[in-house]
Amino acid sequence: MNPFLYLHIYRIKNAIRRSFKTPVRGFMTVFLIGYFLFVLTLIFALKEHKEKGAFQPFDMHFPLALLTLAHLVPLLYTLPPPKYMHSIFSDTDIANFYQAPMRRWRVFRFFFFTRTFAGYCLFFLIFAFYGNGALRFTIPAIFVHAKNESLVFWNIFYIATVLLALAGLLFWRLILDIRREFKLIPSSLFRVSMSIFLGSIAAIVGYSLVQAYAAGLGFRAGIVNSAESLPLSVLLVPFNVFAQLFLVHADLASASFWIGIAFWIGLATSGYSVLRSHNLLLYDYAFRLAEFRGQMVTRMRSPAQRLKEMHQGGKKVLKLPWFARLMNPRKAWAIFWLDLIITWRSFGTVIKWIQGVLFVAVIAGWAALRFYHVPVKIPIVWSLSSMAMFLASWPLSIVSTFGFSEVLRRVETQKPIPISALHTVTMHILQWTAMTCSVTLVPFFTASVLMGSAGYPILFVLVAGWSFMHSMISAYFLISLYNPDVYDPIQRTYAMFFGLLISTGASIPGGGVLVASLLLHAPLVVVLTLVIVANLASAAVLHYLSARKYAKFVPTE
Amino acid sequence: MLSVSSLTKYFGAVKAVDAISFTVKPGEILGLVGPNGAGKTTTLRCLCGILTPDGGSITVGGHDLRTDDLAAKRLLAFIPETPSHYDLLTVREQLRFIAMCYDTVDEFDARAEELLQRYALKEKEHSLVVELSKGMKQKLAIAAALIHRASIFLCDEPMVGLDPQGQHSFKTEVQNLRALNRSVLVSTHLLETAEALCDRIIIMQSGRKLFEGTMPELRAQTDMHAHSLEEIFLKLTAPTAT
Repeated sequence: MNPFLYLHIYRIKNAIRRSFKTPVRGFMTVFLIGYFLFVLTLIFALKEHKEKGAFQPFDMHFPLALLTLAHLVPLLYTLPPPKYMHSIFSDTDIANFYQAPMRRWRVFRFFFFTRTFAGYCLFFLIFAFYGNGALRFTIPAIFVHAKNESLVFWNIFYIATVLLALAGLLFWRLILDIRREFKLIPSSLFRVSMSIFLGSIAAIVGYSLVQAYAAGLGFRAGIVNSAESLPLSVLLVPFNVFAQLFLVHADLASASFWIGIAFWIGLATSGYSVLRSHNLLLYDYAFRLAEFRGQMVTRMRSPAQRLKEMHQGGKKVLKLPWFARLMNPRKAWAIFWLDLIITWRSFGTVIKWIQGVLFVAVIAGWAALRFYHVPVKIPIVWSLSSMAMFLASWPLSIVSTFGFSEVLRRVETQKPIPISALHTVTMHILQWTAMTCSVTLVPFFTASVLMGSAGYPILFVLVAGWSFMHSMISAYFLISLYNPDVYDPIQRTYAMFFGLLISTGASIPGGGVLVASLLLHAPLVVVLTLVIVANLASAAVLHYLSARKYAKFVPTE
Repeated sequence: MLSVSSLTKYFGAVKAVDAISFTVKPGEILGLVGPNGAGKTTTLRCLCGILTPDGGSITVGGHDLRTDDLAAKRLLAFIPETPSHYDLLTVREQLRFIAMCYDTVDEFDARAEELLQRYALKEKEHSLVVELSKGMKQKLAIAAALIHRASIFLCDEPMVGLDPQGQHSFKTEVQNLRALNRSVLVSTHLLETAEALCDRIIIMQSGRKLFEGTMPELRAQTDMHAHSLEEIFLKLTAPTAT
């Protein structure tokens, strides 16, 4: 048998076997498949719903043109040197195949098709039922001539267009991967050609915009004219098809559906990146922390002086803010701040930029609404903000807590921190509560200030929300300590499932107090205090249980 | 058997390997020692084809690694410092997969049986790689390198993570390979092992070769006649010596 086929067949076989290795894993596998099918039925239900005419479709020309052009952004990624680009080979592929007596091209071809082609095919298969209508709608020139053709015609047309798009996407992927793996194209030549390609597109868009403004048609018309012009529609066929599939029969419901999907994917990806970089830095962090603590404990000289000496000696040192240097490193609070600083630094420049831009965009958007006195219904802002906060906080806290507790346990076994298990657990749960809240509640609070709604209700949501989040993260932390392999998706999924159950349970005291207090018409300050106390009590129990489990951790290696 | 001439490798502006040349004869064990960052691993990764050299030539059994890479790689086996196997294959499947890559499936069963026994992997042959300990993974890497009966073995810190029995098995294996007229190039920080096991030693620092020869030649050259490799190494690679 071909070694490539052998590798894939046996990996799939073992993955399936592993998924049903225990009853819990089997249950979670069935649960995941069921969830996937449920999501698919939702897509089709959405389609049927729209076909009944319940929603008013948008004018598609401008969003389509924007989305098509937006697909060009990833091509900018080709301009930096190849070492910054992802490869279709994993490290294991390189270690196993590069030394084997096999043509590099053969290995490349196989992984190129399995890892790229398979993904695209799956995408088009899922949209096979959903997409041919989109093509009918979004290629007006052909539609005019062929609107009376049969369904067979449209299906053939769909397949032909998809194949064209597939060929285009594979072409781009091939260019990127060949450059990455073989360096067949000289770097300077590649950059010049890509710059000419992107530059000519920019020139066409610019020319169309100038013409549109000259004719008094404005920005939207310029963008639409450029995207629908002959040169760009030929250059951007694959991206155009992708854009059409994403905006098929666009209306408010489907647009929000896709934004939701993109939001989740974005969060999961950034959460993963944070987790991975954090893992890499944590060992270094443990070392620096121990050294920092050692300096403070011996009190032979000030940490600032020691840092200065290390700088002069040419050592790379962790620069800490002044307040972190002043704290007593024997206390959990100091470690909490140090940890927060390290975690923030481990986010990576790109993520920090994306977060920063999003943050500014959200605030600027709300500020603009207020400045221009745009009539906005406050309840809509509140519900959207709450939804955003909820969506953002869950995946981030789950991913962070799981990964962090696992790495923390390993670091602890190598460089024990001389504080109690309860303190250790508490400080890390507090840290993730603060981290999660900083990316969710701060924009929420800013929005309310900008909308002119700051006051007791905001304070109530802020503090009570934090206390609920704290107890939920505590629940996930506890569950994660029972999760022996953080990289195993099945274990992770069932930990999430049970984490959800326990976090719901942990929220019951706070929720119960909240409902009871509101029913009894208690004063707001009393309600707030009782909710916080209930949540803190619930979290304290979970901290105690986590500390007991944490203290008993025995490393497997 | 293995001939390296002016091998050079850059990582950006950093010259990781600086025009290094040496040969490994049949039935010879050549030790590659040097401080961290000396370029040992980069040299070995260039020799086995994982990295592409920026200059120089590598000839394996008369085949140029650049122009006739398939024939050259067929003669090579590489044991990396950090084993890299497919997590979702079992131990036996990983070995079979490697045998398939080298087109030696015909003799796989007998050879696998022998290696699984020798490296105490028999009990784990149906376990997934992901379930193995670090030491077990290293043993599997050694078994995988031996599965296709190569002529030249490139070993990068092969004993890291091995238990004493595993280390003993590996040393015996290397001596057996020498007896079978195979060549072994082993990079290690275990200087006592290098001194006892290797016929010749290369000391590298900052990508360059500081010394190549036998232990008596090394002692004579450094005028440290009653000293161990460790003492000579420390003197040669001390910051003032460079």
